[in-house]
Amino acid sequence: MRSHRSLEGELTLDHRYSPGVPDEIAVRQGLTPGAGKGLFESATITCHRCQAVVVLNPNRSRERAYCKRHDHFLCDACAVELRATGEQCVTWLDTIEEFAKRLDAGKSTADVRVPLVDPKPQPQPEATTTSIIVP
Amino acid sequence: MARYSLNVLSQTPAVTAGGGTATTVKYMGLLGGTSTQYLRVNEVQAGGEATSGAVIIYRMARASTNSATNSLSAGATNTLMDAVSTAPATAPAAFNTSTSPGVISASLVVIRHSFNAYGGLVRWQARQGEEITAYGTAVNLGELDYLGDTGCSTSATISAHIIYEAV
Repeated sequence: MRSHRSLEGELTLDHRYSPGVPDEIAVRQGLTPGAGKGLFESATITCHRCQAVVVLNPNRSRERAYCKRHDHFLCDACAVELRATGEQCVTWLDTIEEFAKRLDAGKSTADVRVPLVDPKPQPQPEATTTSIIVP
Repeated sequence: MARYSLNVLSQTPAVTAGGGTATTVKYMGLLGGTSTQYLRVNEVQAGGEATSGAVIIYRMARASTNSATNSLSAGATNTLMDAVSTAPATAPAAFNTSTSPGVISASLVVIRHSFNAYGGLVRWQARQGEEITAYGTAVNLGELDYLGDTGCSTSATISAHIIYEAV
């Protein structure tokens, strides 16, 4: 059985021989206060919907968004968007597969949705293209 | 499958805000070699070479307009990591120089971190199966760029590598 820890990557910030990064900058990058000083190592997760890498904060008390359907974590931005729209989660790999299928079939890829770029796709005329048009 | 390491040596960062155009020789880029090539980024590392404190803010983001006519500057390399690997028929485009650099997506930022170029370094490693990926040559899907964000020092130099796999 797979554990959630098996999904984690790792971020290392090594400032043992450096003045480091002030807290106000580190926190803006999604890190915890003090992360910019000394040796900071933390687990990361990759959002399976948009592939954003999230540095896990061990002191976080809010729940971490989790997709039961795909047994993976989501970033906060994707979680908010899914809750707001009530849509089902579509993984990044599903997005790529859909894109590849349409490419193979010579169909338009214009309305394949890339998470966080085009949340409300407009119908596009059928045409063969290899690009995604962001409305 | 072929695993590559894209390296840049003593590169000076430039600030590129979301929605802005990257600056040639001041970024690192990966783009599928064909319309169906799949790239998986396993590791990103950057280390500073400054002689005084300089905060570097870098992020990897997708491109809403892809870079065109890409190459590597002197000192930058893109090398197969496994001595017995065979390169794919069409190699992925790995570059830091472009006659028309890509436009960086404001929303599709996949990783962002900061470090002090005066003795500091940053490294991110993905768990197997949890890599950052790019597919083909389509905009918003095919290109990944690693470059300076708003607030990044532009006086220090950094050296960096991206380890990725072309499938």
